[in-house]
Amino acid sequence: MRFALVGQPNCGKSTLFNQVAGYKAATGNFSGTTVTFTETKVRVLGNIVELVDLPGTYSLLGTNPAERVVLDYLVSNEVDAIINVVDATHLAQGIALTLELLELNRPLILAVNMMDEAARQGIHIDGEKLQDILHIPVLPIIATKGQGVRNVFATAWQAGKEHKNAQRQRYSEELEQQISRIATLVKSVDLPIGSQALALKLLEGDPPLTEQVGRKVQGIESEVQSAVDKLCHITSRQAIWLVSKERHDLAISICDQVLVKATKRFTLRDRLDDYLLHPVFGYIFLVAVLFLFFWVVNGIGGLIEKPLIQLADTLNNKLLQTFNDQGLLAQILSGALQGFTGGLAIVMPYLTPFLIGLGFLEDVGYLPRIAFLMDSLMHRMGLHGKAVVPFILGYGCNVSSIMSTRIMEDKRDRFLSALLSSMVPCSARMAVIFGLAAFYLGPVYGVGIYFLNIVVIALTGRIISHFLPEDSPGLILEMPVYRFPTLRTVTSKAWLRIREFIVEAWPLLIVGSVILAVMNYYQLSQITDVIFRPITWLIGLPSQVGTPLIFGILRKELSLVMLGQALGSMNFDQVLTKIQMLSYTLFVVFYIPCLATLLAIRKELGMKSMLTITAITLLVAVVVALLARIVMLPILD
Amino acid sequence: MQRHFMQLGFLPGNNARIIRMAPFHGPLLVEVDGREIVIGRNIARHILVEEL
Repeated sequence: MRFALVGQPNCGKSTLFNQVAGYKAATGNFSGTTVTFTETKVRVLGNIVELVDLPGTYSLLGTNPAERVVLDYLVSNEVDAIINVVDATHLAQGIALTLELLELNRPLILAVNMMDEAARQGIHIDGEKLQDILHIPVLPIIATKGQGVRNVFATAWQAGKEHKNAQRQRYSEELEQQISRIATLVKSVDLPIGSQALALKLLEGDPPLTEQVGRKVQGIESEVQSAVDKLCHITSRQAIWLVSKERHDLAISICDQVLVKATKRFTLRDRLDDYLLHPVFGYIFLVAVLFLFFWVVNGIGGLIEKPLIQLADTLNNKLLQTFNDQGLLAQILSGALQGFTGGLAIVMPYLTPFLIGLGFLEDVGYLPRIAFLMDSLMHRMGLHGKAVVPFILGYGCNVSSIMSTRIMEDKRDRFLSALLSSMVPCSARMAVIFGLAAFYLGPVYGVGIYFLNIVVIALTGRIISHFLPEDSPGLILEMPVYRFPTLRTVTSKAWLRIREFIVEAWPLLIVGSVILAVMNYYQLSQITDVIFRPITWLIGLPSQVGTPLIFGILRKELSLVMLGQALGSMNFDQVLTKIQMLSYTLFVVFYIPCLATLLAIRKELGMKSMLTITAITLLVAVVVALLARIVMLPILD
Repeated sequence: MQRHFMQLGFLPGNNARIIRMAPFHGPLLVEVDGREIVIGRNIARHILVEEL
């Protein structure tokens, strides 16, 4: 049996999913976190059930590729029961989607989430009455605490087993007439959704679906058009507006019957935006938050890095002394040790506090507020305001930011935000910024690099959008309420990413270091160094850094871990000048996205975009590093 | 675009309230159907409203 989780953005589908699946789906307090479906197997009443977490959507006729996934999935896959999650604090909007799901004629369960938040706002929902109106099971849940979750799955199992198909509500007489007329015409079409649901979707006007049906039913387009015209004549409204309006009005009237709303008490949390989005204090607070975040990560990381680096270097020297020679075995062992200690000493100390902090900011709901405050800047980059989501996710991992470009409708916007967000320093490059620049040159350089990064991205965006002009419509984003994150979600979210580092990246760091050791031994690395020599020469770096830079494309952490190995010491101030450390860090921050990101770009946007992005980022990296070398030379040396 | 707007509650006959505006010609924060939505000024310009 298979269940699907469907609901509007930010209603807690993924939180519910994670409650039963362990932490598998990324969550955050803003819309568009889930862009594709995640599947898992769960045990319900002793039976194994497949559970699918679908992206949040306001309506089944999705306007962007991420939302499109939902209808496509429901149309092409056998789903035994749909679990519709709605946010109790925004019941009317949620019910509008529920009405659309009812049309599908499948077993449907309504899980009313965030009951605790609703209670706090003085909202009371009469679940039994709602159940009577919709004729489907209605269950209250608090997904963050796992309350009521078991009940939802047990009910879904029952509904799926008994094939209790939901029945749709009736709309106005004019609309019903056209629905049944079109429905009889498309009866022969063999799709997993009923003919009435299909008729409604055709009236609303869904080009891919109309084309699909058109191939089977001759002249359906003109029939639908005449129905739309007739409706327009009677109601003086386009069918697409008419249907939405009727669902919306019906949803409101249902809500009026089941909802009791106490007069809202304004708590501190409601007033918070008066300060945090204030034209002056808002920006002061933004700078303060980012600075505090940076300061904590840098402080904790530096505290741990210092003794660990020394320990690593001592261990390495001991190892080489024990073998008393420069034999191949000694080199291999030393390489493996450096790969291991590199991950432990320079990546983990920064990665852990960084991910916990980012997870906290994500869950509180502060990130969309940053989008609100920063939108005019984004606009100057020629970007759609929605691009702020890929940007923010990019600070964690660029692969997820590339994936999240799916929330944009336009291909040009998707390309531009993929390009720009791949230059956002991810947590791997964060380790280079903190472990090298901030650690040796001082924290101010760390802050400076993050700031410079934003400026460079903005400039690049401006230049590129000059060649790809389009009036971008601007920001449309739902502002979530502040939520207090639970310790469990923040830590398990951080753990999901740390585990990814331990399982996928760390072994690669060790293997990469061993390969470099072997290459050094046979003096092969000189050959690979040559490839990057024109660039390393230009930005004033020793030729040995070429190989770490090539390996850095595999995993960005390698460019730091292998750097120590290529130069012979992890104490970088002994082997590099300050200006070299700066230009190396800057180059690493901007040049070519990592392999995983490149593959994600190819998958989402195609080979041509991948190669274009590779070329542009390489060019940007060289220009920035070169400029830094020229400008900062008198100051640093 | 039109559809996306509709989904967010910008429907004929609905009430909207501007809660705040971001500086530097930034976006507006608008309340529609009890939901807070940020919209850029370029789009806001295309919404016809009647003062209440």
